[in-house]
Amino acid sequence: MTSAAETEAPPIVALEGVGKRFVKRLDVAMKLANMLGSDLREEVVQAVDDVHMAVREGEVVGLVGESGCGKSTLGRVVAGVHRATSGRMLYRGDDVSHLGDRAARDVRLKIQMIFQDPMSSLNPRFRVADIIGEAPKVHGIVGRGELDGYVDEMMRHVGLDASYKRRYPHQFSGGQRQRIGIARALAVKPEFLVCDEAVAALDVSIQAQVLNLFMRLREDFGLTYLFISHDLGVVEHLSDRVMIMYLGRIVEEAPTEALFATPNHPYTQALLAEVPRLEAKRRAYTPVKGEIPSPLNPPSGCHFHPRCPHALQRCRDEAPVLREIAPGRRSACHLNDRA
Amino acid sequence: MTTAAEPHSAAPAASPVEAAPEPRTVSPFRRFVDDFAESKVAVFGLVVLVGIIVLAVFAPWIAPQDPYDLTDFHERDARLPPGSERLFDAQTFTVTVPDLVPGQAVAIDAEEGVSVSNPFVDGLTVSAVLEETSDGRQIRLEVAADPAEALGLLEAAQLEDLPRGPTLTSGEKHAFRNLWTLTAEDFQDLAIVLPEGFDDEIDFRLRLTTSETDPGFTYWLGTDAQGRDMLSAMMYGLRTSLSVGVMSGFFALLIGMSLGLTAAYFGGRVDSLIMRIVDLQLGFPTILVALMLLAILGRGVDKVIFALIIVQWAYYARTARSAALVERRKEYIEAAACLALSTRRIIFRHLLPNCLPPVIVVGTVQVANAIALEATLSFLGIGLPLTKPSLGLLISNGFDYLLAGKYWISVYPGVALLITIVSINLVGDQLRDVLNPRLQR
Repeated sequence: MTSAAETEAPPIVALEGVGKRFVKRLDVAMKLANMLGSDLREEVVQAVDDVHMAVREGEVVGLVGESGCGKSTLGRVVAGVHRATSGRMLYRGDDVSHLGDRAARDVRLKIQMIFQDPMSSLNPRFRVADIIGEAPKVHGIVGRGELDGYVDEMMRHVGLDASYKRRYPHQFSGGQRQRIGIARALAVKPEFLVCDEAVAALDVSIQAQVLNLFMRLREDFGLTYLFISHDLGVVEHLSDRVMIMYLGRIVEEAPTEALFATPNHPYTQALLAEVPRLEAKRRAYTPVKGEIPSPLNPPSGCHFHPRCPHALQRCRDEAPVLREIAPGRRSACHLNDRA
Repeated sequence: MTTAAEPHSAAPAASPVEAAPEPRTVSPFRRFVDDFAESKVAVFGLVVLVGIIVLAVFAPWIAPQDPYDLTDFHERDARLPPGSERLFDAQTFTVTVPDLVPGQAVAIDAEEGVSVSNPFVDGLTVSAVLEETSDGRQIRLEVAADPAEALGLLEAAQLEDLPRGPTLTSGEKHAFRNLWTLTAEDFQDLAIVLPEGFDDEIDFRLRLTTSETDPGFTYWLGTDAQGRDMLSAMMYGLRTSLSVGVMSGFFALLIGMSLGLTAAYFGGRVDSLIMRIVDLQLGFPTILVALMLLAILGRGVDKVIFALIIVQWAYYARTARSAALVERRKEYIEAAACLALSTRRIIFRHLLPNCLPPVIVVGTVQVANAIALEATLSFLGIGLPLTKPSLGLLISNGFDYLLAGKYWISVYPGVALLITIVSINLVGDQLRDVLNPRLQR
């Protein structure tokens, strides 16, 4: 796959310093307790912290990280489900938060999301035809008379038999449900798909089918993907470019082949060391030591330093900046400064 | 995979269609019915409940008696044990004997009597003759029966307001009133000897008591203190109880669910405010709040319903909120937001229908509670007015006679209440199992 990053296409989606904080505010009882001398604080989770990224048209960007690292939140910010608390998001150069109602709606429709759980992402009380057809009908994408044919067409695009459209989600297998979710997203003619662990809940054989479907749809509709996963194998197979996320920050970004060949950041190295390979003989797995720290109380400096085998004093004091270390490669590690 | 043979014109490279689990389209409702039918007890409860509802709804057409029609029941039928036959309508009747002319018989009957409070029994004729005898003047009363069996119906007779100082051939005078009581045999040939020198108009009242019963009307469950058929009263009582329960439940559900959904969807201060009111409401004992409200508002069906809504909406609000909190975090709501659907559409088309199951479960249980609470309030005498007998009121009415051995006035309405509430709860329990997402197959 030739990397689209090398061409001069304008970024379809760009994030500039995007952050997302979740704050659990104090309630009245807690405020009262504070007045009486206890020391309760608001709980703040910085799920996404100052993320800069750009996705060019036609690209497939993989976003990898452990669970709880904020990759899903980032995906939801891009898809417009969550509003970023800081920074700005540009769609084809326009700041999304400064658009009028209509334009904002159109941008929203252009960026669609495929969810992890194919069961809970479909309204259990709707028939397939309604699930796929609701948004096109409401937004007037197709006329009333053409809706039926349009739904059939969408179902065929994702490899579902159109005769099943009177059924309910629970009557389908996991893979079929995921296809319905994809058809629902396609039905509003999107340009950008955020796939949040879109195949993680599926059997391996079904995973391959759905991944192939994604790739085919990319060619048919000229789609751009942000592919969120914790499965490095899937990301390697699919992506042009990969970003590694750790505790709300992007720690490394590189073209797929380069990243898998020569991982730069110690966290990436640790992750890649753990990918099970078929050709591996008896080998001992050395898990990344320690648990992922609580995002409620992240470590100072580089978030990875408590688990990093190369940690220095500087790593504890100062957060490393995501810097270019080679053309098209960025990494956030103080070790690069020493070289 | 027969269907996969269809050409995928728009998607030539389509990966094979996965096999569908079953060929039949099963709507969620159909699945719900099948799941519900799995419990025989619940189906039995549902059948009983439907029967009770039919009885209540069609009470005016199927009840043997209209308990609101005061002319249709009589005090003499009061407190009859179950299985008693109804006494005939014209059991007692009173006539005022008109002016009597010596030697001339006057037939006393419904048409001729001056003041007839009830028509005569069919086949019985009574006539009066004023006679001059050696002893003085006397009135002879003669009873004729046609057919002869009709005479057997006569049980007793009473004469009232006779001229002062008469002598009767038989009969017993009341201790101090001018009232004579005679048995049926005595009455058949009765002479009233008038005091000497009595010359005035003769005018008195005759009351006959017959024992005829109406074989077509049996009080299967006895009668209450007013002589009302308990069975009919219970049917009408069920009608009142159920309608009060269902109406208060429905409105409490509407109010509670809107507030609960609002709290869950908007969160933050709105959520806190609504839920603190709910906490406050639930902190008070239900019966106490209802008692206070009714003490202020007074009696009446509307007031009872209002009081029940006030004490019940909080349960629905809490349930709806918790269901909505769970549903709101599901990805299909995010997907709907992603599809730029309006907030109103998301709440009402996506969120609300999926929050309904637990609310329906609470609803059935709460309707049973409302009926029980209404019965409690009526039993305490502050619920429904006497003209709207609910089951609770019927129980309350019979409570005084319980120790007198007249158990049926209280016990049967109590059993009816019990059956109603148990059947509703059986249905509600099964609904909870069927609609519980954790037990969902």
